[in-house]
Amino acid sequence: MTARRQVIVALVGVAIIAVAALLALIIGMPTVDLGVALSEPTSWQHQALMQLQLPRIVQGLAVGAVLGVSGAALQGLLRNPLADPYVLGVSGGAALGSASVSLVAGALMSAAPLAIAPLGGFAGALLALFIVLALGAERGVPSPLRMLLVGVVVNALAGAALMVLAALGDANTVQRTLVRLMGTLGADPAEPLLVPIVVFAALVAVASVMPHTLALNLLALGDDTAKSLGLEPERLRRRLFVLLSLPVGAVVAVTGLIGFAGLVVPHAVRLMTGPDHRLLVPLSAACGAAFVVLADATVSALAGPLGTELPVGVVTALVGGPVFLMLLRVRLRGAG
Amino acid sequence: MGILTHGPRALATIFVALMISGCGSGASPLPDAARPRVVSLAPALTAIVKAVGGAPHLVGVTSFCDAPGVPVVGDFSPRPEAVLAQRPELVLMAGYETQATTAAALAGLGLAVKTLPLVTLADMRATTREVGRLLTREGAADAVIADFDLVLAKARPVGGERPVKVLLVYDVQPGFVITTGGGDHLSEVVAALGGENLVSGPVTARIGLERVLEGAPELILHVAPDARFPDSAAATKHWSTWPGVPAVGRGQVVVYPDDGFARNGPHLAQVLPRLSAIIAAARAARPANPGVAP
Repeated sequence: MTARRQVIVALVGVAIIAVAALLALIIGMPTVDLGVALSEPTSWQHQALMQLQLPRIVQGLAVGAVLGVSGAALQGLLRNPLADPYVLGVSGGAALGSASVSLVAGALMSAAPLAIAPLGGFAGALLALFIVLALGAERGVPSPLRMLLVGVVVNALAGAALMVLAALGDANTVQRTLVRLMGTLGADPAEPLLVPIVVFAALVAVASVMPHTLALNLLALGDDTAKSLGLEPERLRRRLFVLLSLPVGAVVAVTGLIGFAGLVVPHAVRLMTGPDHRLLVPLSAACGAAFVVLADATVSALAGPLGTELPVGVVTALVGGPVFLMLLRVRLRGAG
Repeated sequence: MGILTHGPRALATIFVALMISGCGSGASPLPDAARPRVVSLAPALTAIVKAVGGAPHLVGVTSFCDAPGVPVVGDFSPRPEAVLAQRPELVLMAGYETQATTAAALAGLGLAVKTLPLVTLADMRATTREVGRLLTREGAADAVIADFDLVLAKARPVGGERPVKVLLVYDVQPGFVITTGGGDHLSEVVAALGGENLVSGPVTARIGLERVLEGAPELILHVAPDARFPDSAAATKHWSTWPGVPAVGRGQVVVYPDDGFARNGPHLAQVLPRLSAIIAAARAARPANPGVAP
């Protein structure tokens, strides 16, 4: 890919993100007068804009970028179009970690801080990753199929363990954790670290995958061909699995499970760009960011008429599911 | 991960069901049962049975009920055989969504299942009367309701001041508050005492913090203590990041000290005086010039 084309791809990505952020700002705060918010620093609108809405948009962009990048990379690494960022067991691990730590903290501390659940979620995601890496390898070599299966089993086991916690522990605490893990974006000055954590996660995800986009293209030709061209597929997989699970675990721990973004976005981008990961990865990051932030703005806009705010994961699933089926139909028709 | 795919409403229902419940359990000898033998599968109903003097009827309760000495049959959805084992002649349920399957199963076993709603104050009065009728304690039930209404009438503020804007808090999440959108006993009690629920929407609503800023509550009232907000000091510390909110600026962030307000039932008569004082304090904390926006 030429330098000129790289610049064009970067500009397109930035434009997608900028337009999505602007739209989110307009439709996501129906009760806030932007003019007042910008001109009157003492107004509640100013406070809502600066301390809630803008950080929330940044959070949404970062989370979407992590999901888009990791979805594109994992589909390439596993050579499986159904792979998504939660496939390696991190979702179940994060949920179980959050609930466990919240229960323990609730029992030991008179006032447990809000951040304790995300921290527990991150630890749980890492533990799940360790299990998947340990059990998903054959003679020390990561096996894509085996890792997928172990990831599914880890998620199922974590779900069962959550049921046990809900039955035996403080049901209130467990239910709160589960509601939080349904996928919610939200900034709060009382928890100032949550937004920087996901922004850092997005930087890690993008910086981890971008140098390997050419290698992902080679991997698409098959392990044997990739090896003959000088690539070490096992090493690449192990490295990217670890590097991607850190940001995915952090994002799940902070915002919960925002479904379909990491699955649908790379497929949709692939329809436009083709399978070249040098285009697919950066544009999946941009489109993932746009998808999540616009879904979240929709949720905010609907809060008035509904009287309550839905988790953003509900909207991404409601939109992403049918879109995925549509993409599937388009691809099948193309193949036919 | 199946539970994560359930709708928030189902989880919220469980959460609210727990919030409006009492806690405690008991196990020991079966009491001498009066007729009919009653199993209560809701803490609030257990409390009503006791309030009308029907404790001797109880032969089974949930693990969340406060009924020492009465056998515990399970949680809100016990195994039907555990209920059956108590040979009840009447099973009382509160109509929680999560109890629908259990209710059908118990009815299918031929048990007399009575579902009595307990969302509003009108529900509470009707349910208390119905429990009194079922236990042939109509007089006691009427007396309990009359006591409640008397206390409620006394607690109503006099004068024509505008209502205190109250944010009722079940839970706080980053960027959100889980609250009640009205149509339940919490909002009704607050309204009766000279307050006004800030939020209008479903009984369990999740609102963004910008709606809190927009609504400018004069009182932030956590309806019950929990692990994160065990007292008013903890809640005040949390909300201190929003000094522009009138309730925060005026020091009117309160955690109701027990679950008496969160639960619906005749016991609210004991809650009303304290709650009235909390709302009166928020009214008194208003700036001297009412024409100035908070």
